[in-house]
Amino acid sequence: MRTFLAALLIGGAAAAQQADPDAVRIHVLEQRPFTEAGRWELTFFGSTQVNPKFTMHAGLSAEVAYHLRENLAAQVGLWYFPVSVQSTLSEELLTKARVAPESAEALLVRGAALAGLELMPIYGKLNVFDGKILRLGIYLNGGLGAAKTRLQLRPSTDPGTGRTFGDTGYRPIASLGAGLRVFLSERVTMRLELRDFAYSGYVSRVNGCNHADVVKIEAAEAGGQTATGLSSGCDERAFGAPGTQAQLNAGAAKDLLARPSADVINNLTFQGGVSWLF
Amino acid sequence: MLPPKLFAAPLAAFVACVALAARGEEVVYGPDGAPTVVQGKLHSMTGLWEAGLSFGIAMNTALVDQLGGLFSLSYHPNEWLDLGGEVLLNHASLSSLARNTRADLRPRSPGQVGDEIANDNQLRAGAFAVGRIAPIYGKFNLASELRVHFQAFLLGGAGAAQVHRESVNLCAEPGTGACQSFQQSDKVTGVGLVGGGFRFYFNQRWSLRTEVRGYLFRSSYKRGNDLTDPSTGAQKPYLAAVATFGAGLSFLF
Repeated sequence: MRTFLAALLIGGAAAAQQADPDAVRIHVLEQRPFTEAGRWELTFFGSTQVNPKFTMHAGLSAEVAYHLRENLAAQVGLWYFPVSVQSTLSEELLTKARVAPESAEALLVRGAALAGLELMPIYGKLNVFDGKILRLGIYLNGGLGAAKTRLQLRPSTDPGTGRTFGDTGYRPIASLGAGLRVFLSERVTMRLELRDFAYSGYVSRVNGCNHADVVKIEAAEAGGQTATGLSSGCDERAFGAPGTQAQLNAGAAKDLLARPSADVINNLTFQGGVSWLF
Repeated sequence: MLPPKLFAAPLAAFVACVALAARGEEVVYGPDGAPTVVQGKLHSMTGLWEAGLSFGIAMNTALVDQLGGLFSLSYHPNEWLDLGGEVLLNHASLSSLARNTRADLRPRSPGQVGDEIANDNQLRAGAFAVGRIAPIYGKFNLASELRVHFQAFLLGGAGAAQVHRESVNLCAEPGTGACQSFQQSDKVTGVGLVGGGFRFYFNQRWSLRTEVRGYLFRSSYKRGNDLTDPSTGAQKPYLAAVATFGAGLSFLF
């Protein structure tokens, strides 16, 4: 009997412990398995434009970041777009309807260098098929820098010239981005992000030549001559071989420079890459 | 009233087991002193039906504005798969770019031959069988307080859709005058779809679903059309792709 009473008391106490109506909310603090503060990170991305209305960009980029704190990093990045051409739609509009986008909307970025900051305010974890648990971070970044730009002068379908370009120089560029980092290990991270590259679409010179220059070049090349009285920095030969090619390219530049626009271009780019922390 | 002696010992053993079991539910501490937390899913999906309503906008159709809704009903046989059906309704029309292009078209002249501008497809309605596979489940904290559980999924499916085409540059009227109406066609065609997205749980029943999907179908544009004679020219088929971004609510029951 005493045994039974003792067991009953122990059981009752244990049950009372489980049925405590005053539930206490406990925040379980789980330490991160590794720290990023004070470490460097090198990332390689593949990039592609996701709003290719009049232009199409695809390329590669490399970024170096130093993690000032656990959630804050300073970054420097280089972008190179080997594919920076007018979209299929732009060429279709030109060849099938004889209309073309304004120079601002058709401005192409060949490469860019930006420096900025990255903030990772959201930290979490995920598992794959109920198996391995991986850490993740959601981040925002922004940067400022310079971009090398160009304009496509002739379409790829032009039998005489093929696709040709004119240099429009360097200009300031800003970027804002948001992304997801998945920590595959203490050193390797996978990144997916969306970046908005914003830059001015104002174009006043192509190959260093203003509108008056390209009018002269077109007329001179049509007559088999070299243009005279060009402004300083204007490179006539950058429009192509003397004759028809230079005439056509200068003619295209003339149309693009006729109505300069000060629009700000937003080039939305999706980037996927792998980074190495060291 | 006390139990008979015959049952006292077994009953004592039972109560002791209850006590031990109750003790067994306490947090077990690991070797480093940190609590060992079982990291299971907060929101289970197995055996549940899901109804969803979302809005979608086309992202890659510069010549067409397309905005619509999608109703879906699916069943989750396990945690990472759901199968179901969807009905799509879109409001689609030519974009301002397409209308500007029309306004800038040059006058037609006899013997002038042109090709039609492609990718003018207006996906107006459709019904699809869709499967989603969700291999990734995770959570993150917003402002260190609000925990958000999410799922990442890929989707694929097939079905049929009504596609309306309204040519941007080919006139439906013979002659050289200004064009008042343009060539049009309607057809029901087979459509494949692929995509991916995220589900963010509000609670066990409600969640926000965001996804990007591509509708793939066979379309065509006309080549070698005499601009003054709409009956001329030949169709050139191609694989059309309409990419959409969608966001909406889903309800599990």
